[in-house]
Amino acid sequence: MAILAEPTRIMRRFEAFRPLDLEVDRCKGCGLCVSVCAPHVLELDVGSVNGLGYHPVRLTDAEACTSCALCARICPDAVFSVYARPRST
Amino acid sequence: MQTLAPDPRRVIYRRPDLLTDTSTHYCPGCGHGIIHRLVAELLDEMHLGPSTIGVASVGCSVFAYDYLAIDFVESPHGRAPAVATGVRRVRPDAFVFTYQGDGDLAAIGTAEIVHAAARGERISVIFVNNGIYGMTGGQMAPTTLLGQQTTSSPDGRDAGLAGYPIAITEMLALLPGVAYAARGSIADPQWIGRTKAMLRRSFEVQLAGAGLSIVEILSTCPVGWGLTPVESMAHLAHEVVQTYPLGVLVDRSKGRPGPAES
Amino acid sequence: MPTVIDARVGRPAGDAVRPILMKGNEAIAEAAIQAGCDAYFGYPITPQAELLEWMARRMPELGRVFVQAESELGAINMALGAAATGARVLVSSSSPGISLMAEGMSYLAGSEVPMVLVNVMRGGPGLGSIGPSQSDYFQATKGHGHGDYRVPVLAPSSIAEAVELTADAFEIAERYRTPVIILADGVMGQAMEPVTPVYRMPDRIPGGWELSGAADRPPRVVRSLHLQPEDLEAHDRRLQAKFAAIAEREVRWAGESLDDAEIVIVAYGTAARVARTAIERAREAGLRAGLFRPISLWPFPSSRLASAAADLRALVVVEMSAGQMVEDVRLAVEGRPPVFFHGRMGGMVPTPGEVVDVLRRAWALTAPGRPQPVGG
Repeated sequence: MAILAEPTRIMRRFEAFRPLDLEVDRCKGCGLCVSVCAPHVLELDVGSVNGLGYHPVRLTDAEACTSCALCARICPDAVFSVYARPRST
Repeated sequence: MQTLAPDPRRVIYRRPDLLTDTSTHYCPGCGHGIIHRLVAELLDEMHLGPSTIGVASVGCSVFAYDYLAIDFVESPHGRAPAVATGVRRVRPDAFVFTYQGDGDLAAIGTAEIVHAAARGERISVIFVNNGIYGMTGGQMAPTTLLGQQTTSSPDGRDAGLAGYPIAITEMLALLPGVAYAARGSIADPQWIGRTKAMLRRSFEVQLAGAGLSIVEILSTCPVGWGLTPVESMAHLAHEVVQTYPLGVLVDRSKGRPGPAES
Repeated sequence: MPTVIDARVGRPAGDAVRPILMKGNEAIAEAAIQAGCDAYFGYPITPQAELLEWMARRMPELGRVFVQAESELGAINMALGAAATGARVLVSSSSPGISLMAEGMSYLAGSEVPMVLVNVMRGGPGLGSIGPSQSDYFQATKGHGHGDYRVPVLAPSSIAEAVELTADAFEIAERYRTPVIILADGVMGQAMEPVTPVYRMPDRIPGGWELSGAADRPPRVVRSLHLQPEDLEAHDRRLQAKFAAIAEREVRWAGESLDDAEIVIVAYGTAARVARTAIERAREAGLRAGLFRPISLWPFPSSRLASAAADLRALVVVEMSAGQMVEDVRLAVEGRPPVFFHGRMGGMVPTPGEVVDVLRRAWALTAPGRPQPVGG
């Protein structure tokens, strides 16, 4: 069986799609991404503080993210990497 | 040995290669971060990184050379267009840009930019106008709006005492040596996209050898303005553009021949 | 102006070459060109405009860079940019324009960017006059702009020497990564003298710091900003070590008639030539005078002067200024022997007769048995 030889690939198939990678340690909590996010799935995580001393951005609902990348376009610190949602198989 | 399978996700946006890993010293929401990112994206997309020599100036962006992974020379305050002229003249194949703030370009450096423009130097000037002197603590700039409070105009800029905001890019656009002059803004993602297109045009104009290109970018200084980053963007979009309208001011590059072979 | 310069680079010694009459400004320009100058940036100002004009004609002829900048401020900054890419760069001006370059010189020194600056001195302060002077000695040797730095300063006293020192200046600049000043004056710039057109082009040695675009190597930055005090102090210490090395290795001076001299004139540039005539006349009258001529004004030949002066009756410093180098002379000899001074200002040149009078007065005032003066 291929399962034991390629555990990572199997894990990816069952893993929820992540539309954003966030380098939270670069975030300065400016809130610009929150203000431009159309589906309102970004917020500043007031419960945590990153290495720079700010409340970093957090994705609240990965399913509702449309990968529009407006957050990435406006982020002054290049925190975001954005990926397209795979078409449903 | 277990190897990770490649990330199957289709990339819409990733951090540009030419941005270094160093976290910037810019304040939260500062426009410099956005503009540096646009420059990095374009230099990556146009494959200009290996031939670029950037000219950093004096202001908050003095550390641009820590954030963009290209060759840089630091210029005294205001002198970047002259320094860029020296670089450009001895290195005809280099890609040369200056990155200047409003004090650097429109106050102390006015002679240098006017004459680089008059000579039609083949450089791209990136002029960041945030209407204030950020690095030195928020003093009035030549581009500060009438009535705007700053640490050196505590009662608001008064035309009788301090004159009017200077529209330097309109002045430069009069000169035949200016092949392309435009004003963009980073107030919202749409205008960020349009500004990136202006910068791309400016870079293309340099590569075509048509003359000097300047893109003024209206930007924010939340700490200097006393506004949140989100409020600052709104201020840009509604107030600043009344004094500094957006768009392409002049494009003489079409049909203009490149420089004669030397 | 001859249309073709028969310039022979590296001609073997002994091969006869006819000298040609050249104006000082033009001779220095051609020497720079023959030394491999890639770019010239300048602005017209009397009495050095001919240097700019020579470059305006010759540099484009050779496919090299010439820009008449919008001001001296523009010129020195263009030089910073060009030299930061490793180009061999010359800038020239005269006193008021050199003042505008103080900022640029500080940045060049702090960023360790080599280039050569020629100052054809005129009367000051302010707009002053267009006559020759030596009143920029302080400016050139005491740092010029802000911050802790030194700039090597070479002072020719003839046009032929200016030609030699131009090649030396590029070499020193690149060897140590520093701006270098050639301090000439309006007489030298405007006069015409025979120049043997044999030139020297110093080798180029890439240092690994030059900007050329970060293809296949990590990016390089040419800058003088070091915001952390510890970093700047470390950088400044390195600069000071460099200046100490220059001070050890690049002292230049010349002596004439020193072997039996009892009273020695210390002078440089055009003042040294006046002094030479005065010494001839003094010797005819039985007064044994000699000349100590600094050629490097920084590093100043202090210890050489101190040993040469050890047993003298007096030193007489002659300058075309109110007295600037005289302070370094006094520092070097530390009170012995007494130092006398004669200067003319404002574009006036001392005459040999005036200098002979000062020699006589110094001689009389230092007669054995008289109370020794400190100097005058």
